[in-house]
Formats: sequence, C-alpha cells, structure tokens
Amino acid sequence: MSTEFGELQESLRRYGRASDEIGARRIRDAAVAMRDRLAALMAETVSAGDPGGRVQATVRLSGGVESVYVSPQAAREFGTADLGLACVAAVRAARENAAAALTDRFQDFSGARPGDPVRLEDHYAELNRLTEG
Amino acid sequence: MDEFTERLAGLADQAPRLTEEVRRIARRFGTTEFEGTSAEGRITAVVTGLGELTEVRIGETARRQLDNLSLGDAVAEAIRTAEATAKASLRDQMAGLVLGGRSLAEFLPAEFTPAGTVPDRD
Repeated sequence: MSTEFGELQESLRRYGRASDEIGARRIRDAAVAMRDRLAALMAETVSAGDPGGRVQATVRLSGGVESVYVSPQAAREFGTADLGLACVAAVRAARENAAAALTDRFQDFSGARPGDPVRLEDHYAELNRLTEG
Repeated sequence: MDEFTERLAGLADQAPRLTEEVRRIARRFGTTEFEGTSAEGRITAVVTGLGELTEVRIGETARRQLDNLSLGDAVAEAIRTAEATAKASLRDQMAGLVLGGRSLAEFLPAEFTPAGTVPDRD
C-alpha cells in the first residue's frame, strides 16, 4: 500500500545521496505531502459523551476542543456541579477516542499493520539510517 | 581555538544547565493548573499544563440565563482559553532559556506562538 510516509521513505532511499535538483524536489514534495496529510489527520474530529449521554464533546485528533453540546435535558435537569462534571467526562471520553483514532489512522498512514508496532520502529530506523548516511 | 570551535564549546557548556532547567520547568508545568473563563466569568475551566481538563465550574446565573447551546459554546470557549493560558505560560518560561543566543521558545510548535505572529528563526 502506498502512503505518504512510504513515498517519503522511498524518495529518501532513491534520491537521498544524490545532489541533483530533481531528486531534491522529489524529496521536498514527498515531505510536503506527508506534512499536509499529517495536518489533515490532526484536524479530523471525533465525539463522545458523558456516561448519561446528555453532554457531547467533539475534539480534533490533535486534542483541541472543537465543540461541546449540552442537551436541553442536561441544561434543565443537572445542577451546576453535575453539569460541570458531565462536561469534563464528555471531553475526557472524546479525547480518549481521539487518541485511539489517531493510533489507528497513523498505522494506516505509515503503512504499519494493526497490532504490528515493530513495523513503525522499522520505518523510523530506516529513515534515521537514510538521513544520517 | 577558532571562533566556531569556541562557540561550539560554549554551547556544550550551556547544555547541562539548560537541560536541568527544562526538566525543572516540565516537572512543575505538568502539575500546575491554569484557568480560563467565558460568559463574563460565569464559566471557568481548569486544565493542567499537560492539557488535562480537571474541572468545569458553571455559575448558577450562567445555567439559568444561557440556553443549552450557548452553555455548550461557553464551556468550549472556557476550555480553549485555559489551554491557551497554559501554552502562553510555557512559552514565557521557555523564553527565559537561551542556547547559543536563541530563546528555546523559538523551538516550540506554532500553536504556542501568540496569535498572528511567527517566531523569528533567522
């Protein structure tokens, strides 16, 4: 499977030791594609609610809070303390989902298979070897 | 010793002290709490330096006077303000640490820079 990470890795392998302009441009293009893909990835959002499902938080995969939705029922029935707790619970749950989603997406993005953390390390080791070589 | 070698030696001398300073800031920053408010101070969010949301305090008048959608927007705004305060604090603390004539704050990600500014990296 071709990924931005794999493209960059391949460009470094093919052109990393060359000094020609075309090679440098291809490496730069691959790096820009990977940066853009990472930025898009971090801007994706996931949502989760408090245990009662009456407050919903949406966060970006970067962890930033996009929005908090307080249901009419929560606004009506919760006291201020419970409403605050529900908001905290919803944001925490959404961030846990974001962390899990980021792990999944990054595996897709890097070409690693789920449950195969060694593959990611291999990528880093290879990139280090190429950039230091 | 030429100028380049002298400068390199100077950097090497500064590095251990800076490393210890950064460690001290990181230890303290992780447990420090930062507040952000919205709805004219009636809603307060508290986050740690590591970004964990620990508390949302909602004033009784805010709950009574804001509709449910405005309440949610105000909570989100308070959280974002608290997080921005935490980042600004870290940036300020890092700004005091200088390596080779450059502030370590320059090396923080863009989200730590004040809105609308780009750190000078020349």
